[in-house]
Amino acid sequence: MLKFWSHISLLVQIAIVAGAVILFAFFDPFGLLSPRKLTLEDTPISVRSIKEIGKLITAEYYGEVLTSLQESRIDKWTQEIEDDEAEFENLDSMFQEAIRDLRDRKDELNLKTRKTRNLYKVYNKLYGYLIDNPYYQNYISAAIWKYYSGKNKSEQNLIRDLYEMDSETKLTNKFTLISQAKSRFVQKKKDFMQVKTADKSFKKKQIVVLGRGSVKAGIDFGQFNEENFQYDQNASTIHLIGIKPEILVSHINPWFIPGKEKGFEVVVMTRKADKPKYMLMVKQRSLEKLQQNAINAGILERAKSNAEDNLRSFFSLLIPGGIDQVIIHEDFFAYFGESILSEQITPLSMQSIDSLLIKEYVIDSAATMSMRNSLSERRIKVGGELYPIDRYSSKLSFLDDDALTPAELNWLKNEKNRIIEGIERLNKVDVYADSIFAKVDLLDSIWFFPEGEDFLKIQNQIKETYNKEFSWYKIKSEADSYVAYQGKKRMAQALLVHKFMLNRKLGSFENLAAILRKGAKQVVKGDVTYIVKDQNNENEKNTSEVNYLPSLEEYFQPFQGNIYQLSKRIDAVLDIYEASSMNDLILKSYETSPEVVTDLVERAQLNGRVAVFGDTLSVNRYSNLFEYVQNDTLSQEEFQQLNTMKLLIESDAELIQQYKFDSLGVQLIDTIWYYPPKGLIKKFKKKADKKKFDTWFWQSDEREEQRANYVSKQIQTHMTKGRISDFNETANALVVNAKVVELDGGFETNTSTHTATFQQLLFPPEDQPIP
Amino acid sequence: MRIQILLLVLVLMTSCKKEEDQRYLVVSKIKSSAKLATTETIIDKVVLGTQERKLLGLIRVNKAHFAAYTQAIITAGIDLSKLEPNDIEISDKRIEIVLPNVEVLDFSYPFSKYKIDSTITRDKFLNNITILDHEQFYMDAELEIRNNLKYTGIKKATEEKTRTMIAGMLKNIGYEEIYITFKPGVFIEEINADDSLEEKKK
Repeated sequence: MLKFWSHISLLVQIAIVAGAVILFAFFDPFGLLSPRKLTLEDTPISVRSIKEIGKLITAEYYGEVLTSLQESRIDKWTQEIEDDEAEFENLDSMFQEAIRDLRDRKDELNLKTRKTRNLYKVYNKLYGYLIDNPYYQNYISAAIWKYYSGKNKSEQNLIRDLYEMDSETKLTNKFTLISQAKSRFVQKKKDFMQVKTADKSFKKKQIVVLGRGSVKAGIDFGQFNEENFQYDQNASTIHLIGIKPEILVSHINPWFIPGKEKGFEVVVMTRKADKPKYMLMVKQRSLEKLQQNAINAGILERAKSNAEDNLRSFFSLLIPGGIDQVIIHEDFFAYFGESILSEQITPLSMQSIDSLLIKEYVIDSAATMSMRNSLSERRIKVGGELYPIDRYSSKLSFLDDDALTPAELNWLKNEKNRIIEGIERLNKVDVYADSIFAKVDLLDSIWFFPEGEDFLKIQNQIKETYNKEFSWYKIKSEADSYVAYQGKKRMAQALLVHKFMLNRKLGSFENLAAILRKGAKQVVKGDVTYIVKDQNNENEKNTSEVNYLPSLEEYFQPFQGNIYQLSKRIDAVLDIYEASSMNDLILKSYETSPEVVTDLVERAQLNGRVAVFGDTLSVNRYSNLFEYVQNDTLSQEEFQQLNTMKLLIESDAELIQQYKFDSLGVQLIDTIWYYPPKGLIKKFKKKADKKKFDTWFWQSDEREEQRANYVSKQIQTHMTKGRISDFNETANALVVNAKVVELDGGFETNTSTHTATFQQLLFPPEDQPIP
Repeated sequence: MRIQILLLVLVLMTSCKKEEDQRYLVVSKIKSSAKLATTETIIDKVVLGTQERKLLGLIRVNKAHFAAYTQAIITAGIDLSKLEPNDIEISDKRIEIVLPNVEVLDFSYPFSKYKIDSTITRDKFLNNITILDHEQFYMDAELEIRNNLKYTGIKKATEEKTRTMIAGMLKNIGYEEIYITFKPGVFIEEINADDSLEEKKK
């Protein structure tokens, strides 16, 4: 028995010793198991990537925050409740929009309202995106609860009741009522938070940390490009647009001051909270608080003002003239409000404004439109004059240098053609295609998109044309035709909108053209520069008289208009070049640019026609003679001139035959018109060779001269033949077309009935009287 | 009586011991700066730590392991406030500029990028690695990264990127002949690892 008790005693002693060891080990009051040695193994550091950035740090905040785990958890739940409230408001607004849209479609859908199921099907089909929202069911339950004061009703009932609401006021009141269901929507989350925070386990988990870190703010130039940079040289000011000071980096590192001061100082930590996820939560909250403290301390404002100062100093060092000011505008709207509206708008700044309007339109179309309206109220200053701002204001820069250059004229011509082509294409509905949209750009939409009454008119027009009704069953059974109908309707509306825009664009363009005509001090056309009329110089021409749109070359393009239009066109050319006739025009051009003349002659011969009352003739050496019929009368004097001219030509021909080269009457103008082509000259030379100028005698200067004379004679004969032919043709036309021909003795003939040729008139056969 | 006197002395000695205050004063304030950051480098570092439990400081009881994948983000560039008028020479379309030295403008070792590897991390009997130990590992790792940055080639890359950026800007201003050099200087201050908290504890 004693042995048994001694064994028991031994076991108890062993248990006591073991317990004591475990207890000591756990609490280790004397550090018998210490020191615990923490060792960080050597591991390499590897560079994953080096990225190019462009950030300017202009303000740095260093601070300290105290954060607890319990605070972090409560903040997290509170944030969730706030997010839910925001989601409710979003859903509420979408729901109201959907119901209003559904009511607007009453006529189109032709739904029998009593059939709730049909209505609900349509609602589901049209607003699926709303129903797919994960919060929708919670929202609709809260809405039903509020709307029916807790009665058991369905979503279908709610939609039908709202759909059938007989007045807009009632509907608005009901929507206000539904909006009040927000408190119910978030009640569950609030209850959950209350229960959690009262729980013991919540209170037992606690970490308190002192976090020390930094927040750095400045400007990120990552997306910076030319559009963001405006340099106003006159005001020595640089505008940086579309960039705003932001928090670039913020962190609480393990070390606040490396090797000296910790980033995170753990003040309190309970055993239950000894988990990485809780520590991460506290750290995250610490960082948020640090950022908030930095913002509250005004880091962003400081970052902006510092950036402006620093950049001004920096650019002043780099730009010899120095910079007075650098202004940072958060976005285009801010730039617009802060600078554009307070400064003088010039065509150059309009170019930037245009590009920025386009850029911003994508982001906020309503704000861009409001800006456009503000612009419309402003005036643009060009050459001391103020003009209203519109779509083409930037093109007033054409007047900046006081001269309209050929390139600028060309742009004007092309632009007008482009607009007209667009309008013509839109008028041909059968060729309607997506490609027509290319004729309208985003800037047109900004300036000319129909608004208000204009848009209503278009909509009404579409409604009248497409007043087809589709019932729900029809939509379902004839889905394809419904889709096609909707597509057609949309396209028809787009067509009208585009037409509207292009017509307004044309108006705006014409307005620009009128300003340019009036305002240009110089117009450079071809080789001629027109200068504004000056009292001291009568020869100068007022540029408002210059029809700058078509270039000279355009006049020689194949023409398909009627005789009257052709005549007008030729008159316009002569007027622009201040030429008395086509020959004069060509002669003038030859003095300055022979290559152009050659080209012109070719074009004239191919395409040009001279309009002479009821008929056209090829332009030729004697086209200027048609001036004689300007007053419908071929006077005696003119007749004499014609006769002299004829004798002269015949005399020239005779002289050529007699080899009297010295006195030949061939002029430069003849050379332009009749000089034989290279092939023919070659032929003449061959002919000369056949005459054996080079074989009768040995090669000599004299023989060479004879050969050259022979070739020259051939050339001049060729030219004179041309002259004679053209002269006869022109003179005949003159006589035929002149209404009155005044002959010797005051004899007058109404030539509209006679068919006599010039030859006959001049030298009538004795036996054949003048008709 | 002797024992009482001895105890009294011990109590007095311990109660009078003034703990050295090593905290640095953190003043929450905003400082102006003009630092142009031109590169952002991401560096990976595996934090691999162990903790040994020893009985009476001699007998090794066991060893706990800790592993985490971490990332550091280093922003480097130049401090524009160090640029002086003497550093720039302009002659018509020619500009010669001596930029301040390239340096680390910001060192971030974000806790959001710490990923603890649960397959390696193991506590042992009576040997737990607490979150305070985690923090110690991160601190040591940060010092290691900082001290090794000069060997990573970031300085050279940053000089190149800065040169390209400044040259592009000068070209836009209208300069045709551009010469850019950098002043000599320290890329990042080296930290004496002996100052680490672990060493202080000892």
